[in-house]
Amino acid sequence: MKVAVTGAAGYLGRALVPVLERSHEVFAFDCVASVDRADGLDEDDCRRICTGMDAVVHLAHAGWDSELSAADNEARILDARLKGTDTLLRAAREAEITRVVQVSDLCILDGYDDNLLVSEDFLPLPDTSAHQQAVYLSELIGREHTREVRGLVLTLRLGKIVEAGKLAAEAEYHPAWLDLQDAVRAIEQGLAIERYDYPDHWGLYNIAADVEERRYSLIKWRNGAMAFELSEDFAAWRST
Amino acid sequence: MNVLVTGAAGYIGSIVARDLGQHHDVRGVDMRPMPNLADSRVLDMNDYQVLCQALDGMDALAHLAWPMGPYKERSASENTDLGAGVRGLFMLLKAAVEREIERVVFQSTINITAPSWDNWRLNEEELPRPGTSGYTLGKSLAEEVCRSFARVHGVTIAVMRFGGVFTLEEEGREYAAPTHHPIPSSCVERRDIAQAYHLALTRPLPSSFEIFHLFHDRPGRRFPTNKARDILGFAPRYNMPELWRQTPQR
Repeated sequence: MKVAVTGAAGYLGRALVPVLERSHEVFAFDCVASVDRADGLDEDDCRRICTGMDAVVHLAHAGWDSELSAADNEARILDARLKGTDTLLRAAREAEITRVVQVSDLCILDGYDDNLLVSEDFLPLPDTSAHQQAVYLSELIGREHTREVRGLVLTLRLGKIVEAGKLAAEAEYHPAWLDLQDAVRAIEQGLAIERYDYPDHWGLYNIAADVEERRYSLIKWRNGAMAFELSEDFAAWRST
Repeated sequence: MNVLVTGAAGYIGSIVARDLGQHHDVRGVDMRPMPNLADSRVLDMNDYQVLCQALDGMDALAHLAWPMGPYKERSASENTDLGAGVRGLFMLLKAAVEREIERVVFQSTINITAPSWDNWRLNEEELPRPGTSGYTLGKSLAEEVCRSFARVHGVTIAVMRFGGVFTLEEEGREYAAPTHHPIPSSCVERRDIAQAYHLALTRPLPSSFEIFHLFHDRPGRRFPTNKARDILGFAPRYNMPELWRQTPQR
């Protein structure tokens, strides 16, 4: 498959691209110059990203830049996820792409009590930070597009991505931890699956490390099209 | 009470600002001048610093501003539904919470429920299906932003959903005669909207986030307004019976 990756120069993107290249023809884009440079808010750039592709992995977002004011950061974060996602999805539809993997964040379920086992059926409770609002609203943008082009959007809510190999031994375990290689594997799987589980027009899966005392229900993922064995369960950090 | 009205130069906002002035001290903001308001500031919704400063000294916010049709040309790249609309609302609510403003009325649109208009008795429980057109998508995301701020910060937010806004006043009459509207006989007059804004700013609400449908009063409404009547005491005065009552033949 021909797969475009936005935000390819970011943390997840740098790990993802070489893995996808084993089985796909990958076109990497980012707003920085280390790969093909593209502005995710620009319609023409989004068309360029999507033209001729079979699928897009949408990782692009804005992080917090300490050089900027809080309000400017918030504006960038909102614009990158809202306008960026919408502009990309419009271009993807124009290019008749059939799969956009939208990478989202489990943080929008943080509003629930710690003792609950939360699943995709739980209404998101984002706080009012620009990040959580942007994540939540961009999922809704994806939902509206995939209602119109059924099956277009697969939303993967990833946990907090860490690398087991690089974690300090005394690091405090967080129930949303997900190993970088497992995150990459989830996206790879997301490109491969042929159908989604309930609802079948919008793929929506929560993915965090598969541990016994889990916070995030993995029932939908384990019993459905996305199922694969997660490699890292952070046993060394959970026992401490 | 001191009320900031955004979009105060608009077709609806100008009447809301004018009529709220009978009960409150109103400050208007808009990108166009507001010659009829004593306290007004011309600004761009994208300039959130200036926008948020307009909230200084205010007790409540009536937020009607939204990037609309021809005004988009003013700064094409910035003035979008997801930008000035949704992002602008986020900035404004953040500033409102910082200033401990306790009441906000946000203007949404009934159009976010349009795919359900093949049915009747559509009340405020109807879940939006906004689609991907910028205006309805933006308004529906904006409602979600309001919902989050109300839940997290306890600020009381009333969301107004209506459509088919007409006027029987001379000023702006050419804009929207009710007989020309795409959803004829489901509509509301501007002064009734202003009445609802006053009520939504002052009446106690059952929770910190409430949606209200505002339409004129007639039998068999596709969009019943019982909730606005029961909770706000909304009683529309301009009911346009000629749209739905037969004239007796003599």
